[in-house]
Amino acid sequence: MPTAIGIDLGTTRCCVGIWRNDRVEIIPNEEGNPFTPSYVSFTETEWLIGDAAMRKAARDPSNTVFNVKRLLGRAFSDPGIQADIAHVPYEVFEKDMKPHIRVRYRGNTKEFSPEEVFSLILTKMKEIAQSYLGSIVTSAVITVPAHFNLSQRQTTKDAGTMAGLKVLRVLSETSACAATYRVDRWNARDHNVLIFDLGGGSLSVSLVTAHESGVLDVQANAGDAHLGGEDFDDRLVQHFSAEFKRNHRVDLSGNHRALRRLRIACERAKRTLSSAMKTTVMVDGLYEGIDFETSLTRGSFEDLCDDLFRRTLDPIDSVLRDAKIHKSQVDEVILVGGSTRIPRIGRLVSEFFDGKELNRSMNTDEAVTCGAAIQAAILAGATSEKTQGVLLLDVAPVSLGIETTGGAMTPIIKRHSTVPTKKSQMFTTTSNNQPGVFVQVYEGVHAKAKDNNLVGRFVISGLSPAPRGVPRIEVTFDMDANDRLVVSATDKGSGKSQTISISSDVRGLSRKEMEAMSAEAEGYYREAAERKAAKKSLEAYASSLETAIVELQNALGRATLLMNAGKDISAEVYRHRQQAMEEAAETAMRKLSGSATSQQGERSGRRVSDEKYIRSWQLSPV
Amino acid sequence: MSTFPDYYKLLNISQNASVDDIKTAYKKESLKTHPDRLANATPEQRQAATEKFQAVADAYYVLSDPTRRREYDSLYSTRRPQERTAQPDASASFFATFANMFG
Repeated sequence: MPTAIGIDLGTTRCCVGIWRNDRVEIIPNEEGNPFTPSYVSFTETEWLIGDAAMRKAARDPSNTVFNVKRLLGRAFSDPGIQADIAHVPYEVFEKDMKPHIRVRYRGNTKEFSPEEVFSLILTKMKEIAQSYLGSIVTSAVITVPAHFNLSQRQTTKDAGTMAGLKVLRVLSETSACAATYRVDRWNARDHNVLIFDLGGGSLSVSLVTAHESGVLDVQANAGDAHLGGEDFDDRLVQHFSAEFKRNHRVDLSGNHRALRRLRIACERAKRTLSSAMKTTVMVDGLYEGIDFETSLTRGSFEDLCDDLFRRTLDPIDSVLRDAKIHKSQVDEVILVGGSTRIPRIGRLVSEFFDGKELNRSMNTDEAVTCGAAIQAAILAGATSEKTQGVLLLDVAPVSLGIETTGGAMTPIIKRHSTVPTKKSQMFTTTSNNQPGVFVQVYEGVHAKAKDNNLVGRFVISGLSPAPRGVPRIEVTFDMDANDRLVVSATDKGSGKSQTISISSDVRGLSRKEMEAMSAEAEGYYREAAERKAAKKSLEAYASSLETAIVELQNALGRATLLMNAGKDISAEVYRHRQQAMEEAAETAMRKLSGSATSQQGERSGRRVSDEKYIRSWQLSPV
Repeated sequence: MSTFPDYYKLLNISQNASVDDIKTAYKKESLKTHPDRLANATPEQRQAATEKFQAVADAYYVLSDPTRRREYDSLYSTRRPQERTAQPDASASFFATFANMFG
């Protein structure tokens, strides 16, 4: 059996575990820590990952990369990305419409994509596991926030592949917690479990029904990509920077080193306030020899972050709504993630559930890693009595569909559908003699396609000319348990079909491809029109020939009758008959030659054009 | 619509099964057909199981909700037994049309 590990790939730190001897072992790194900071620092000689990189952050902020998870699989134009960029001391720039990172490494400028940075971190996690286990690690389950869309999941998978891992599954963090819960606490009855995971960078909430058979049925997920410990730290940093400015007339913004040191002090104060009511924030020589020292109470920390704390309840609301479950039907509320140590958070969640006691029995920091390790063992085919019968029925994180008339998003696979799933729907054309259809695949929940994320597009050309609304184009979305989506479309009339597999890189069509396809389609269109016209002409000629033959046969019949009539026929009558026959033949011939010239193919005058033309090949639901 | 998916047959239950029967049958069929439980099977077996699971999940979605089940039952009764099928591929296209009735 291959060695399969579970990796919790967090915004601020990572953790790796393995299922061995009927339990999960959390694997410590070379410094003996179960957690490795998600930091990569580039130096003149090497790159550092984890604790060593984090220690470099204050000294070399522009070459120390962190919080990369927030950049993963997103467009540079994303407003959220812009806010994140403003917060980090390293350089983020746009390349291929995606955010990339620029650092100095070994005396040169080097550019990295977020997934490349992640692959470095994953390689590190793999090495930590290998040196602990003393064997080669081949495959892994990697966790991501439940709200990660298909692109973000694919990008995560790519990072794993780059790190030399076979990624068995990109698993939602909350789903991983559900697996941990299932293996930890077998409960022989059906019950609804709400998992609330507030980590360093994001919040994920899931509602899972645990069934006595061992099946875990994920009902709904929700989350906030920008809500976590880092945001609470930000608040404190902003607050104390303002205080420092008031007291010393010194603006710290732009001074990355000072801000970094202030941030470390703020984070420490935040942690202390989870148990103490009051703490001191102290930074020696924060700016040009000026020391910073102030006190912070739990109450004022809670006031500063009040709106952020309250925002953590929104996803709970939406999960219950989506799962159609009343809060009183929730049997267990499980808190995981480091930020759930903040007392105010626990109180707010408990109050939401009318004072319900929260389940804090799971290890806040390790629950996600444990679930990833359990799922890795199951997917690798491990046979253990404890995992026997455990099955996680996960759901599609977002709706998947195509663009239809008027730029609408028509979902084919709806959000929260249990995966794997396969769905088909019939569509038709929107204009007469439309030569093809342009299928654009989007993921997201917005009603307008353009507000969602484009994940793939393709064209079917060469439809037989037909009035609009007549062709039948069946579009099928087939999604496996690994979030791999295959989209196919078939024109029922011509039997033409196209299939694409959606990968992280949008298979966008270049202008040249568009032109080529347009020209090809135009060719098909002309060919089809000519074929149709030629056939029509042939039919017309055949039919007039048939009429002529019938007329001639009639004339011939009458002549035969006359010839067999006997001797009492005058020459005049014979001559008259012959004249009639000649006339009939002549009419027939004239008709035939005339019809041949009148039936010409109707040639389309449409000019071969470009992208705009293909874009007009819209689909509409039947 | 030529073939009609027989969701009762797919879940191995009778037409008057209770909500609990449906739930139990779904979990049972899931454990049998979900590809995650078939790590040591051949790719072909996994593919066949995946197709079956997709239809089984549709069956559960339709039959576990009283409104959807009522709607489905009324369509079911209009179909001759030979038109109903437990073949998984009948579900994908039926489901889309059907699910749209519920928005």
